[in-house]
Amino acid sequence: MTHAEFVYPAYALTIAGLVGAVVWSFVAMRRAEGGATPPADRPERRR
Amino acid sequence: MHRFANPARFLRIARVLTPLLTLTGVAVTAVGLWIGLFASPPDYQQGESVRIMYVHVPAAWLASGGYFGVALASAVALVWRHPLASIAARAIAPVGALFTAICLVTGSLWGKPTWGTYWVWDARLTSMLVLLFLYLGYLALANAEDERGGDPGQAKGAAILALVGVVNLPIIKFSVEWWHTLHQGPSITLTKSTIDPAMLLPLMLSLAGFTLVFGGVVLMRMRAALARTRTAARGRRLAEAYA
Repeated sequence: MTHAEFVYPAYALTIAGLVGAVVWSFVAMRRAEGGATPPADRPERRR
Repeated sequence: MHRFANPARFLRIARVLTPLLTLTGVAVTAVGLWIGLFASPPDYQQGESVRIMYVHVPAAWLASGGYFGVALASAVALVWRHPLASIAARAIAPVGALFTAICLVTGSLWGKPTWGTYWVWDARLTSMLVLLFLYLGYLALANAEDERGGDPGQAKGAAILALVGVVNLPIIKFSVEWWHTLHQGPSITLTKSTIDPAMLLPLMLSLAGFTLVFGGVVLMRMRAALARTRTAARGRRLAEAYA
């Protein structure tokens, strides 16, 4: 039994959890704030 | 306190703090975990598995700290009926539940090479599992109240559950002193630390980084909830105008 087989999964799970929480919350926030802005107030996107 | 409870003022502050907390938190966490994984020494007893401490301890701190935040915001929501407090409690709870799950799984992964088992019904482990169930119960009740509709500031069930569950926090904290547990006692207190500085540095960096990320994620979730409230209010105004 090597310790690496416990240490690496612990780090992988933690990093996946942190990154998942940040990305999920960021996407949800952008989507919600985009929907809350009335169409007339939205800045036009440059092509 | 009431100054910051104004949603417009809160949003102005949150727009500045969200990227600041999140980006700084990610950077500090990355440095802390890098040092913890590659640059810190192994423990003379635990060997390499001590590196799990750098993710397990910050997750445990945020699991308990997050629940305290949920309970505090719930108390404010119950007493002053401010919707921002309910939104804060609902924003903290899933993040706290995530860190509780991370704490339990990483603790199990540390337990196997150290104790020879993934799980024992030890007082500390069991009280942390109870904390996860309290978070899940709070989330289920809060979602049920939100689906029923109405003002979130008036929904009391989830807030009362959060306050009742606070009794578990001192049990978690003192479980290693009140009972003979397999889990070790505290290595760091407010006045002293028994951890070598080479191990204390990555632990403190991870602790700070995780806390900043936690704050950033909670602010993002609060901003999303406030935006959804604005969208719903606009929809109601439009419906009334065309009725």
